[in-house]
Amino acid sequence: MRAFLKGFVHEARRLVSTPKYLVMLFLLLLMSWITTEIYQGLVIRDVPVVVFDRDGSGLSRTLRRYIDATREVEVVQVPISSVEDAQALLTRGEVAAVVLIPSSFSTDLKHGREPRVLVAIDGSNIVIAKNVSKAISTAIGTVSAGVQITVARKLGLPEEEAMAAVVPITVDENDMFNPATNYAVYIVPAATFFLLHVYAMLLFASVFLPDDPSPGIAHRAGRISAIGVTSFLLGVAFFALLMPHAHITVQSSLGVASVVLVAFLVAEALSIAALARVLPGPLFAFQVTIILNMLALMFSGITWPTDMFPQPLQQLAAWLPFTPFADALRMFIHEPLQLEQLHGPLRQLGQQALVFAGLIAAGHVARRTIPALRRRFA
Amino acid sequence: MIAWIRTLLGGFTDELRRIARNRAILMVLLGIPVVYPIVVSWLYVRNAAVERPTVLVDQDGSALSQKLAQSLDATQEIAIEGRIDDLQRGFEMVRQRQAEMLIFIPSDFSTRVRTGRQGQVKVWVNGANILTYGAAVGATRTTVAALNEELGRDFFHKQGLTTQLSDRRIMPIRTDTRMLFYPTGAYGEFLVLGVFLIAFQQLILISLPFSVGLRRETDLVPTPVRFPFATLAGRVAAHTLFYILASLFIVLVVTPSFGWGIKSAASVLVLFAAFGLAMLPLSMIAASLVRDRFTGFQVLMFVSTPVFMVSGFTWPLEQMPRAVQVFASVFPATPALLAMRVLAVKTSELSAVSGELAWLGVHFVAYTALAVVVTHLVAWRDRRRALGRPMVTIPVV
Repeated sequence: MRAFLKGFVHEARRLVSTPKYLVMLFLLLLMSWITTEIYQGLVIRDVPVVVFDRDGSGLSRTLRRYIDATREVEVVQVPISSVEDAQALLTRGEVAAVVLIPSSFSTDLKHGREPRVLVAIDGSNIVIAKNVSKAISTAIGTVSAGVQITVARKLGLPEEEAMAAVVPITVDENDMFNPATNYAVYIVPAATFFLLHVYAMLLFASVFLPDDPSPGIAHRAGRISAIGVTSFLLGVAFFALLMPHAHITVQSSLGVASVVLVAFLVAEALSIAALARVLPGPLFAFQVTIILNMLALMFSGITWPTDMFPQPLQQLAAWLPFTPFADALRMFIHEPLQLEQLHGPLRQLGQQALVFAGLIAAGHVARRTIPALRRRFA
Repeated sequence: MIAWIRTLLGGFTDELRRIARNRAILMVLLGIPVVYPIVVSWLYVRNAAVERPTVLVDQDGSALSQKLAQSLDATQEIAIEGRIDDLQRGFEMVRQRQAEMLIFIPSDFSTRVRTGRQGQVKVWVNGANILTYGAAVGATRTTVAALNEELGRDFFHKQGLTTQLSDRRIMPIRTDTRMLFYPTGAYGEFLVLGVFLIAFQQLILISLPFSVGLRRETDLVPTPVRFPFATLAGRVAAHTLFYILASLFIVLVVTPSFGWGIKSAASVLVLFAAFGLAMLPLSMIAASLVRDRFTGFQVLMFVSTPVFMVSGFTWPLEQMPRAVQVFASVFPATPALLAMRVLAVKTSELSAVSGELAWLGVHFVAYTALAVVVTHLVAWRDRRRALGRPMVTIPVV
C-alpha cells in the first residue's frame, strides 16, 4: 500500500511539475476548447449561392426569394454573363452553387410546359453540397407545389383536397437523439473525449517507458491510478463545463457519465499495460500503442459506421476501449439513461478489461518462467 | 559560407548513418506513411454508407403500403431488416442501435390516400450520426416524392388530362441538379485524401524530434556547434529523402490501389512537396525543444485531429468564429488541405491553388526565420551549459 501511495504521489507531482506534461495538459485544454469553438454555428448557414435569373419575372423572383429564405443558403450578387463565368466561380470556390432560371421560365409555366431550372452545385465539400442541395430543392419544391395546387384548384378542388392531390403522402420526420441534426452534437463530444483519450493513453504508456522506471508493480499501479484520477477529473470537467459551452446538454446524470468514464479509463490503462507486457521492448510497445490508439476515433464508428468496416477491422475496433466508450457516450449524451440501459458497452468494456488483465498476468508469468526454463535446459 | 555548407552536409550524412543504424527511427519513418494510409484506405474502402438498418411497422398492410416498403427497401441507402407489429419494440430497437430508422405506416394510410386525403408516414431516425441520418432520410424523401409523383399523375389523369399534361402538371418545374467535381458525394473518398496529408504532417513533425531526442538522451553534455541551424537543416534533409518516398508511396501506390480519384498525381505531389517544405522548419523547431525521443510523440500527437478539423476540409472555415479562423491560418495543414480538395476533384491546374501555395510559402519563410532564432537560442544555452556557466532558461519540453 505504501508503494502504491508513493507511486501515486510521484506521478501526481510529475504531472504538475514536468514541463512536457504541462504542455500536454495545455494542448489538451486548448485543442478541446478549439474543437467546441469550431462548431459554435451548430449548423451550416448562409452559404453563398448565385441565382442567374434570365427570366426576371415575378415568378422567378419568387423562386429566388424562396431560395434566399432558406437557412443554409444566401443568394449573393455576383455579375455573371455566361456559363463559363459560373463554372469559374464554382471552380474558385467563391460560391457553392449557381441556379440558372431560363428566360422562358414563367411563360413555360403558364402555358403548362415544364420549365427547367439548372442547379450546379460545387460537390467538392460533401457537407456543404448536401446542405445546399437540400435547401435549393426544398425551395424549388415549395414553388412547384404552389403551382400544382393552383392547377388542382382550377380543376374545382377545395384547398385541402388540392393539397392531398398534389402531395398524397407526407412524411412526418422525428429525429431522435439529435433533434436539430446539428453538427456540434454529432462531433464535439466524440472529438473532445478522443483528445482526453489521447492524453490518458500517452500518459499511461509513458509509465512503461525506461526513462522513469517504477521499482515495483504496486508503485506502477499507483502511478497509473494518479493518471486515471487526473483524466477522470478532466473528463468530469468536460461534461460539466465544456459540453454546455458547446451548447450540448448531457441528458443522463453526471453519475452515469462518471461510471462509464471510470470503466473506460480502467480498460484503457489495462490495454496499454497489456501491450507493454506482451510486446518486445518498451519503445516498440509505446510506438504500437500510439499507432493503434490514434486510429481510435475513426475506429469508434462515430463518423463512419462500424458495419461498413472490413471484417478484420471491425474485430480490431471492438478491442479498442474507445469504441464501447464512444457507443455509450452517444447513448447517454442524447437520452436520460440509467446504468442498466448501458449494459452493452459497459459489458464490452468489462470483457476487454478482463482479457487485458489476463494478458498482463500471462505476460508476467511468462517473463518469470521463460528465463528460468531457458537456464534449466541450457 | 563554405563552413556552413560543410556543416549542413555533415549533419546530412551523420543523420543518414544514424537512420541506417537505428531501427526505431526507421520504424517511425516507414511505419507512419505505410500503416496509416493503408489502414485508413481499407477502413473506408466501401466508400459510402449504404443499406442503413431500418425497421418497419406496417399497420395498413395494403398494396400501397407494401409498394412503399418495397420501394424503400430497393434504395441503396435503406435495408428493411425487420418488419414488426409493435411500435414500442421498434423504438427500443432504435434506442439499442439495432436499427437506425423506424418507419410507421398507420392503419388508415391507403384509405386516406384513396379518399383524397393525405396519408401520413411517420419516421423516427437516429440523428446522432449525421452521415447515416442523411443517407436514410434522403432516400426516404426521394422514395416518397417518387410515389407522390405517381399518385399525382394518376389523379390528374382521372381529371381528364392526357398523360403528357398530367406529367407536366405533377412536375411543373423540372430541376436538373448537377453535382459538379465530385458527383458521387461518397464519404470515404472525400475524407481519405485529407487524412493522408495529416499522416504526412505527423511523419514530418515526429521523425526529426524523435531522432534528435534520442541523440540528446545519449549525449549527456550536448556538443556545441557553430552553425546549429545548418546542422539541423542537414539532419532534416536526410529525413526529407524518406518524406519524398512517403509522398510517392501515398500518391502513386496507395491512392490508385484503393481507387481514390485524384485529377493529377503530379499536381498532388507538388502540393505534398510544398506542404512538406512548409512543415520542415516546424519540425526543426520541435526537434530543438525536445529533450528525449518520446516527447515528440507525447506532445505532437495532440495536434493531428484538431488541425484536421480546424482546417476547413470538412466544416467550412468561413462558418467558424473569427478567432478560430485566425488560429487555423497558422497551420500549414489549412492551406494544404484546402488545396488538396481542389486538386483532388476540381482541376489539376496548379494555378487554381496559387493562393494556397503562396500561403504555404509565407509559412515556410516565417517558420524558417523562427527556426533560425530557436536553434540559435538552444545552441547558446547548450554552449553555456558546456562551459558550466549559469543556465538561461529556454522552454524545453
